Amino acid sequence: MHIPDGMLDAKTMAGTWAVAATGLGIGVRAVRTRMTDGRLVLMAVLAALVFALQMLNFPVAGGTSGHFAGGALAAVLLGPWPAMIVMSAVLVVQAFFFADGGVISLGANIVNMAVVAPLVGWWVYSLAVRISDTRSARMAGAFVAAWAACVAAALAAALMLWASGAAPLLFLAGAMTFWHALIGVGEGLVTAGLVGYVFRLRPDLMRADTEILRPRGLALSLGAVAVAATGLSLLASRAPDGLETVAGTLPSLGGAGTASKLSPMAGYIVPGIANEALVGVLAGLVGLIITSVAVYLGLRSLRSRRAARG
Amino acid sequence: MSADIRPGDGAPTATPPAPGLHRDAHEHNGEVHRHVHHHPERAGPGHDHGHGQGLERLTYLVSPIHDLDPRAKIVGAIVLILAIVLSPPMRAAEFIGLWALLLSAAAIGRLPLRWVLARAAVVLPVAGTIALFAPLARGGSLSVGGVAGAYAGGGWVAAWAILSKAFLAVTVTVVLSGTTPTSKIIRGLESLRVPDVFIALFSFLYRYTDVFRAQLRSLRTALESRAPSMPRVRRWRLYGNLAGNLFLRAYDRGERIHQAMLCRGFSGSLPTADTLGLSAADALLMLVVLLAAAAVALY
Repeated sequence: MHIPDGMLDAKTMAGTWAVAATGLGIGVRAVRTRMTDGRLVLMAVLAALVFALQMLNFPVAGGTSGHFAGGALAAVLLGPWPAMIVMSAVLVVQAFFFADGGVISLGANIVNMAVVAPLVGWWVYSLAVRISDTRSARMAGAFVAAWAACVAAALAAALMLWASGAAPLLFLAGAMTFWHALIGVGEGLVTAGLVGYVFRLRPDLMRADTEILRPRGLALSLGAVAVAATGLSLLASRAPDGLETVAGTLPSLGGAGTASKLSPMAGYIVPGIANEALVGVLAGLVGLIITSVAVYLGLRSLRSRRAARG
Repeated sequence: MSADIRPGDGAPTATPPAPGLHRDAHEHNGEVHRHVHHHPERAGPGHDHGHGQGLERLTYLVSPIHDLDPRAKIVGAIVLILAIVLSPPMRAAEFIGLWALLLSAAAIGRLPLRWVLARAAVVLPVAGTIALFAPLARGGSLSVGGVAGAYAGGGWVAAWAILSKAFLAVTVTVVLSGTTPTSKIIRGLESLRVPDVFIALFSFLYRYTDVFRAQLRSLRTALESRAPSMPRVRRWRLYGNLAGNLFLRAYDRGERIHQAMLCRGFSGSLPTADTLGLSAADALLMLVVLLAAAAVALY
């Protein structure tokens, strides 16, 4: 789901860079004020580990394969803000050294895989831990967290590509969600296995996450995701391209003018495009709510069964 | 290096560098390399030390492109990619001109042409899939009407724009990363005011990713040899345990690394041996990049 250069239009690039810069600004501040040098070194080493784990790839139906991304894993192990920084650093290295994702579309990739994925993953996982602090609850929470993070990041990428007019929303959202729902299973299994393993051997390392389960942080991150999603849909639902409209009124801007002439949709405002954007965002939110309710009920029944037994 | 170590002991032999080569340069299997040496004496041609493979090896080559200041190269690459991305769909002349410019930079930088093309081609499957559906977004369809209908022209122009821009932008990063040692890129980013948290992360990613990859590889080899026909889902669950094992080892390694850093006087910053300096060649690079960017973005 790394978006290469050349697919996003100017408004989407500017918008995603603004969101990414805000997220990273908050993240860097949080890391600087809360982390000692020792924790920082540890975080950096774990960044290298997350990068190395991306070597794990799972075959998905149809001969394609997806690889482990690790956004939710980083959030579970390090907390949401350090995870944001770690994932962005990994994305920067991928863009510059491995031709994986573009340099100018890095803003979009950071929003998808370094902001949305860790926030969603952390939110689901911390919800699970809050309901029940057992090993199986943590594993189940980690599985759903990783799966949801994977799908949410894919949906965000689909929204961005669609907002740029690269392909129709239905195709993008359908294809991306389908493949990443499959890849997410592999991602979830690895994340759950890791959490279960570490919780059994070194439960002290997993205690770090209990301190971040503050409702304020939860509400804040949820709000950030919602604002990003609505911002994107608002951007998308405006007239096709502000730049092109300007270029149309100013004949001297030859370059942009030719582009708008080449595009058959130039200046043509699709009726109901705002509805479509709203539907996309709403569908995502409803899916998220259904998933979290299902997780909540599942974990609660697990806990009550356990309580009845013990 | 004391004088009583004889050649053949596996120790570096203190011979003068080949004529015409820089103090730190030396020849390996027909390639001239240059990098900072950690041993104090000048080393002979066949001297013993680890060399990175692939990308890492190419960044050691000696060429005018390698000698450019990393800051100039990073800024130049970003300017060029920005121009490519913001350009209206490219004409054939623009595409070929820019591609020729990049390939000649790669050739001056002694990068193998096939390596550059192969690395840049990595982007084609992803970009190609999106590009294939671009005509749909422009109101056409993939049926005959979409391929040859009234609106098809615009759709296929959009597909070409996506594919050509993605390919050129990736070629820029391939040339940048192939001709600049990683430590210099990090140094360049540092002096371009990238936050220190990121600089630390980049340094550690550079140094330790391969260590963990090697560990992961050996764990997987062990799993393969003990359970060659394990069902897929069980294997994935075991991957989780492997990752957990790796995490615990990485955690301990992180603590050891921090202690070792403290022993060596770590006080919060990571010094590097690379020095930066802008020269006339860097000014020339910026001039070429700006001209090319202006041509692509405005033409």
